[in-house]
Amino acid sequence: MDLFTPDEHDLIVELMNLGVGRAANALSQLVNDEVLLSVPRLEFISVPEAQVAFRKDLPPHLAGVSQDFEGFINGRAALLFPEARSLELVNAIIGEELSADEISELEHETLAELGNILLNHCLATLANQLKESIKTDIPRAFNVSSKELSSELSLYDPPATDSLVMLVQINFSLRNSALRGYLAFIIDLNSADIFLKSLRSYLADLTG
Amino acid sequence: MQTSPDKQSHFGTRCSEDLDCLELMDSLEGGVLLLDDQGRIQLWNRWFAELTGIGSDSALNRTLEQVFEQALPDALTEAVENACRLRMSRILSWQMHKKLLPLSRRLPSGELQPVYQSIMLRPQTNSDLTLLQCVDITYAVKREKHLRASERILKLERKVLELIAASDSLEHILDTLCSTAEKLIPHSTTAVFLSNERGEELAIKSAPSLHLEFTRARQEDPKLLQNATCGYAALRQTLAVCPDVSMDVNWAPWRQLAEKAGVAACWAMPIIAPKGETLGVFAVYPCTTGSPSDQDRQLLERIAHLASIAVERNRQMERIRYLAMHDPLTGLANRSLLNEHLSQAVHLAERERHQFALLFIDLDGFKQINDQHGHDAGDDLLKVMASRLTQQLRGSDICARIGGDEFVVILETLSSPDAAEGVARKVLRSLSEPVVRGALELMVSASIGLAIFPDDATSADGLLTQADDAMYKAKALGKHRVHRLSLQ
Repeated sequence: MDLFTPDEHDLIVELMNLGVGRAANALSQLVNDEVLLSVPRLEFISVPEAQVAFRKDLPPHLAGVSQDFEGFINGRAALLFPEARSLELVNAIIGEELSADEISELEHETLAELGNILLNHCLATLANQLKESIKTDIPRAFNVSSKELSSELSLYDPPATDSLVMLVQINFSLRNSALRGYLAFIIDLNSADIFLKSLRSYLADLTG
Repeated sequence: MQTSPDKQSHFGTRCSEDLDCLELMDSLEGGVLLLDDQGRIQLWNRWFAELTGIGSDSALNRTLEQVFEQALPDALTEAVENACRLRMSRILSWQMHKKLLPLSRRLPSGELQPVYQSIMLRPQTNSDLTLLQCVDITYAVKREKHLRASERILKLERKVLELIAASDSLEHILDTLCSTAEKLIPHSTTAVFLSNERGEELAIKSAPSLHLEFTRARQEDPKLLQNATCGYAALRQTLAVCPDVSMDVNWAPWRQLAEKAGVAACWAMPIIAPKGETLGVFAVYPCTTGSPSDQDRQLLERIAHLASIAVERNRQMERIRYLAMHDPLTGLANRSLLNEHLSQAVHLAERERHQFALLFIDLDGFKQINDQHGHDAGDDLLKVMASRLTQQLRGSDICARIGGDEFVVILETLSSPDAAEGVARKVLRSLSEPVVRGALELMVSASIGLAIFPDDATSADGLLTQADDAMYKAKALGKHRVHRLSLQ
């Protein structure tokens, strides 16, 4: 999908990188330990392409946190990773040692906050740097099979296939565990124009 | 408050006419606040008013810091600011933020208990207000903590029982118990003391992370221990608690060492066998003063119980091993144990290049005693012979009974073959002394075959054959003598 020029693409990667860095910093301070998040890898794809990518890379059962946003771009952001390892992430963050069948409402909420911190930082950094505003909604933690994922991520019911998915792959390194997850930003194409405009004006400011 | 445009679709007709939003907020079981874009409180529901004793009059139009008259945790302040000004929704979970709003509740006992909470901040769509919802999760947290504690104990039990079932060494099992307990009771070191057979002294059997000097001091003076917490627990068979070792006179001898080792208190739980005798003590040394909580007590009991199973089982295994390796009548080694010792002796002698001797002893005239005076008399005689044999030998020598009236002796580390022959003659003399049994005087003598490593043979089997053959030769030559084949 050639919606963005290479310069615009690079700019988004740059801004995501900044957001992820801030999220890592915020998490590290919260848990008093080093939380490393890798440089994100970014691609823009359609919803069906995203489904193929998830099925290829992610196991049949997924855990995730999704959060709606609106403002200069509208859509839904999600953090996704293998279900079996979601508790591992929570354990590493809070320094507990629990087995996978022990996930409770408390862990569910912690997972939701974890996604919340990551997604808020990415979205806020994006908005802030582009001098735009964005409002995020409450995060929701979920567990789904990869088949159900598309309706979980879809902005419309029935799912529309022409939404744009900004897929960001990210690696977490925490204490003794390393874990790969995805950040997915499903952007309402109706709002992509404003996004493009603000990217272009940011680039114009830079070069001008 | 603005009404949402689709309010009609969410409420029945009665609701939309009569609903009083404020009353609704006040009847909620949980805290509800509305904050404006500057973080000033615009709604303070009854739950907050009742819990804090601050009425909405004093709360409205002020910030949370102003109302609580203290700085709030950074994470909360930042989240409130991001929500009110930047419109970012946020969840603050209890696991990541153990302290949020300074809320507490007085228990019936009078104790002030903090309210565990999780907070949700959500900017409203149709106004610049932000909803702050505070959920009291105290009970969920308590339930969770309780479940985890039980789960941990179960895991510990499973691990230790598996080790016991796999016949792991007692040292390893007790070390595992101690190091797992140290994880469950943070900031403490632990030790297992076991009593000796007479139950008079306690000695440290396992203390994987206890300060070395402290451990050594307690090992060197086991009697002194009787006066302290562990001794008390062992003697009274009850949990003994010394909440502050610096204040306890019984701890005076170890006060300095305890300080050095970071030991501030001592909780001692007796390890009691199913039949009721004290096997030892499980001791916890916390690095801060204090007494065990109910949860700690429960854990101590379980650990002491596990230790008792491990120690009992170990004793049984030792007993079984002893029975498998010893002759029940005389208590001497049996053929299996002899073979073990003999091959060890061969290895050692080969490595150290020294000599050792084997005596093959067969009593002369034993059959007649059995026939004339009965098996009881024969058995008694064998017991006496066994004890005479051991009296003639050094501690390092091995004596085994391998058949009815056949004994084998390993004489370790010989100065010369003559020395071996000297010992053999001494043995012969002592075995030929009469045995008094009531009015009877029983007499036997012995035929002894002697073989020397490496002169006569260089293998265990070879030596046994040589000594056995030599014994037969001694019999053939008229009994009551020592014979060595190579000296023919």
